[in-house]
Amino acid sequence: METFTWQEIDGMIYSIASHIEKDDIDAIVGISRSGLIPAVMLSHLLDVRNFSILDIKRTDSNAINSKKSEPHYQGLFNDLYVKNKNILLVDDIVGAGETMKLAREILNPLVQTLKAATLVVNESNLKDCTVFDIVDYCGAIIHGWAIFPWEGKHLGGNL
Amino acid sequence: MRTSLALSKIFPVNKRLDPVLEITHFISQWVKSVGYYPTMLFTNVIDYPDFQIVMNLFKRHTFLHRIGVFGDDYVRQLAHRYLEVEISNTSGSIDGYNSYSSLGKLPLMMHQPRESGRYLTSFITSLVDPESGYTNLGFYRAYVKDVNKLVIFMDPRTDAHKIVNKYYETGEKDIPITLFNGGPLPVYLAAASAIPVNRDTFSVAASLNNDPLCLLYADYPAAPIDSEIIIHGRLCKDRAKEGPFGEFKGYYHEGTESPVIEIDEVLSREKAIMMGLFCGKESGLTLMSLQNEYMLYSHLLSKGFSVDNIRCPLSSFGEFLTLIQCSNPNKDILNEAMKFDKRTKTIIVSKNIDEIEKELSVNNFIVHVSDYVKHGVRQGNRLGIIVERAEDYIWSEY
Repeated sequence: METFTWQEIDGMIYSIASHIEKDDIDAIVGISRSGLIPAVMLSHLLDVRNFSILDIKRTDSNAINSKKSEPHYQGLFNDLYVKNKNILLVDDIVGAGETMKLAREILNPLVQTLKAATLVVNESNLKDCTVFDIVDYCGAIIHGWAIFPWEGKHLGGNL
Repeated sequence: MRTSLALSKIFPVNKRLDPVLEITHFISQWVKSVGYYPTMLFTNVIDYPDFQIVMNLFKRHTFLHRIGVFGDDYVRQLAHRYLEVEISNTSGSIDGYNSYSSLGKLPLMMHQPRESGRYLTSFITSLVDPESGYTNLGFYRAYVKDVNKLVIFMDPRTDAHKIVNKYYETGEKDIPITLFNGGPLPVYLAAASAIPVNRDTFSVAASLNNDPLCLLYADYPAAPIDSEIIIHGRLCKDRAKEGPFGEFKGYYHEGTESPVIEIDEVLSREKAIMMGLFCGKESGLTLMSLQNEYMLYSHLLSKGFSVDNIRCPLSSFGEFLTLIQCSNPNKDILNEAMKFDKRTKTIIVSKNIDEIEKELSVNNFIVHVSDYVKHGVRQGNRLGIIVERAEDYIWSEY
């Protein structure tokens, strides 16, 4: 289990952004829910204001090591920013890569070019492929469940 | 090392970067922007497609996790292993390594703009003491004079320097030497430690590891069989200039005239990951801090003192400030610590070292001043502080 701090999130965002030519990106698509947070941070850092949301539901609960169901497409919002554009697709974590695969299948017919970024890859869940077979940019590689600061677990339930 | 990589949060960097200055420049800019230094894996090293470079692998948490030491009392656990655990190492062979005749295939780095060139900063030097037969391991900077020659700086105070002189005294001209990179992390901690000459450094590494190591014995001093890179060579009587070099304290050392190593053979693992070390940053300081902590703890324990904890903060380069926590701070502990560790400039002995500024602010303390001597010359003062909790305060809750 790897717990990430906000400082580490900053670091991963900086790292991903430093690999990207911002002129090559017309719009950013964040995968809802948690992909939206790094997607918004990247949109600010890269100064890309066109923003779209791809809603794919995967986990059924917020619990650690919770069982994941098949990714399920819910909708694409602000799709006018996506059509025939150069897109950066962003998620928070890639495990087996199922969500990212579905997201690519949805977006590829619509866009001009598609690059994918994720904050974290859990390498122990990858099967017969490498990190960069699934995404173009990755902030960090780990081997276990990731806990992100926006989950609030570090606040310790003192409310 | 590979196990440690699997335990780490690895920040991959796929940008094409040159090992000459570009990797350290990238790290430097990164740290300035973000404020800390993660473990980074450089996967796209210009001119060296067969190698990756990992930087800043030695984070305290990962290091201790890797060797099975958990909890805040890690210094006590390390000292216990150092003093009490005896394990025999085994020997083995390497298979499937690439063999080269020179250093030209290795992604050796230049770290700072005003350095004289590429340097080995993260290779462990392995030498055999001709008297005892023990292997001595240590970290020494080695300047890449050309693809066939290194110039290695060994401070005259080090055991390696004394071992080399023993060979010279017997008339030996070519001293077999091994430099290796990667392999089990406890070997790095043992190599950074000021081990007494009557102990074999690989044996200490096995004690710290709490598990035997498997070593490659050849015509050269031993190296772990799971090293990423092994360099075999001969340390000659020839000397050459090395430096300037960016020291860990953040300034340039002008350089020295030091012994030359002639390279005989370079072995590298298939798809090797070279461990880099950026002097003065977290990894090197962590090794220095850990070794200072557990060695002093072991010493005080062996002298009959009861100590709860020791910290050498990275903010003081892991060696110039030493905090000792014990239930009865007194001048005997302070004196023994100052006698043992002559590099540290300030030692504070207190009942609580977690909030040392608060301890010093609230309580009274006694100061002991002595000479700070470096290279045999008095440079200034050393400071010892004993915090006295004269009053047992009832601390407010909120």
